Amino acid sequence: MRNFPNLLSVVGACILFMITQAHAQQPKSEAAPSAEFLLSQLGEALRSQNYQGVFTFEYGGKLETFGIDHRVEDGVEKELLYRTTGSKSGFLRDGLLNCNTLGGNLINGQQLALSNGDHYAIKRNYQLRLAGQDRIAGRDAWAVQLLPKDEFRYGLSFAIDKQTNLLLRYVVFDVQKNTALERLQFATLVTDADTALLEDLERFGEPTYVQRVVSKQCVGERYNPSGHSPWKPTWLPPGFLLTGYSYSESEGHMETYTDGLTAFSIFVSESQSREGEARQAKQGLSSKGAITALLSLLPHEESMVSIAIVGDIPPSVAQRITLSLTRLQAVEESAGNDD
Amino acid sequence: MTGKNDAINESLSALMDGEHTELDLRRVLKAAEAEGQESSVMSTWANYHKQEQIHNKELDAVCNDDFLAGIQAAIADEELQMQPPRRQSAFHQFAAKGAMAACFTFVFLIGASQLPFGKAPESVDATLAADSVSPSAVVPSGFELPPLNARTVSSVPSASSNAIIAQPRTTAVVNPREFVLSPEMQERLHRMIMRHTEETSANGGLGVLPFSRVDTLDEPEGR
Repeated sequence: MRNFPNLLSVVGACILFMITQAHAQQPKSEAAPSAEFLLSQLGEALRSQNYQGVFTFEYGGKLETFGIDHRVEDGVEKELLYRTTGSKSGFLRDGLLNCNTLGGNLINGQQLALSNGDHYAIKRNYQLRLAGQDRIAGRDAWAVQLLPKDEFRYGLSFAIDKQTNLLLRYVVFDVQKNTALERLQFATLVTDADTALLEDLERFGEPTYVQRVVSKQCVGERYNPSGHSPWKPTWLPPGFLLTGYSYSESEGHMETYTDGLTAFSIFVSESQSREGEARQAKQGLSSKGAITALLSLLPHEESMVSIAIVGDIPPSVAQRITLSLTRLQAVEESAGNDD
Repeated sequence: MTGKNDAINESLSALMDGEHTELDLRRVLKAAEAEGQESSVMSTWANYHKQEQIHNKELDAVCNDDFLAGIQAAIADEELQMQPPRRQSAFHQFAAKGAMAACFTFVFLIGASQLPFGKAPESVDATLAADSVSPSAVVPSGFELPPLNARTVSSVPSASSNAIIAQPRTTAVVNPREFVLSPEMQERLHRMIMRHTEETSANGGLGVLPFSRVDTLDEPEGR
């Protein structure tokens, strides 16, 4: 009985300690935003703000560094990406400020109206969650994770700057293997830079070879892709939408699909069968970071068909897409016979 | 034997100085019991007490030669006081147990509210945090941290950006054979990656960042 007051004192002190600890762990005046909100702010920030930075790109045991310069001048969005290791090369693009891309709309949280009346959004295939806070390039950031809801895509992790909503870190990881495939992380980031765009090019030595790349593909809220390849996959991983089609003599038919965050392209080139050459199927797989390139040479009628799947998707998915490819004409003929 | 006497004397000295331990007391009492009525240990102890009393001018203090019985009685009283009360009210027992249970429950609730839920994210979060603690390590966030001199991203060997490694694939394709890429095919693959990246960047929401994946561009001749 004499010890009962002592025990109560200990219990009371324990409860008081826990209360203070729980209170201390909560930020006093900062409410955590939702992952969806942060993601919606990210796309707009990347498009509309002026910023300069240096970031690292890691993949498969290698490390490269890049510089990036993004600014808006007279309503025109200018982007420059250049290497600071290796060759003095870079990529330059001009575009309109208010250009909404398919992927940009999906990242912003918009729902796309499909032709069949359905609506598509990123949340259909990814689970979004706020994973906490971090500090990158000397800036406080929110960590957002996008976990795939199936095995047909990789997971993503973003670190978004609290002040500017700009991207500070981007990680692609294989959820099945719990392995990071590539990581992009800023070491420095400056907003509202005063230096002119050309000064960035001169900084890294002349001459600097910069390749201009295609402008952004502006889309509306309704999903309406144009053009299609005669070779169609009869199976696609859920949630991937066709973004465009093109043809070239060198690469053949090309279709690109995206789920808003990841993408892959299907290249099909029909070649003449070489006399005496063994018409046996061949395949080869290459990867760089999260990018998978599956090359296949398959016999088709009297010729060989070269098929390439390039994208940040698992190799097994690339293979399944390859095996599902069917020439559209054959499908149409089959449908006609059934009638 | 000499060593044993030294130990007893040291214990006596410690007893007089008030710096004794339980072992010292037991040693002295045991030695006194072993020697019986004419114990030299007890007589020595008594002399120490008399000297102390004389030194402290406590001449009127009653010097009881029966130290053994007195000390044993003191020890017996102390042990009696250290015993827990045999009876404790049921209410106090219930209250004590309930208070402890409430304390642990509160700790659990507070701790659980701080933990993220979900299967896959927990494993990612653990190493994400670890990676952010060591910013100098070139390792990816969210995953097991290999030694610094090992691969950074992915433990799966990937092809060099400038050499395509063809691997035989076990698929449903009839007679799959190893695909040895010719230089022309390698060049074609590079072009396809470039076109794919252009399309991805033009339709994506990350601007020109996807071009980080594209291999080094060859500068045109003459530049």
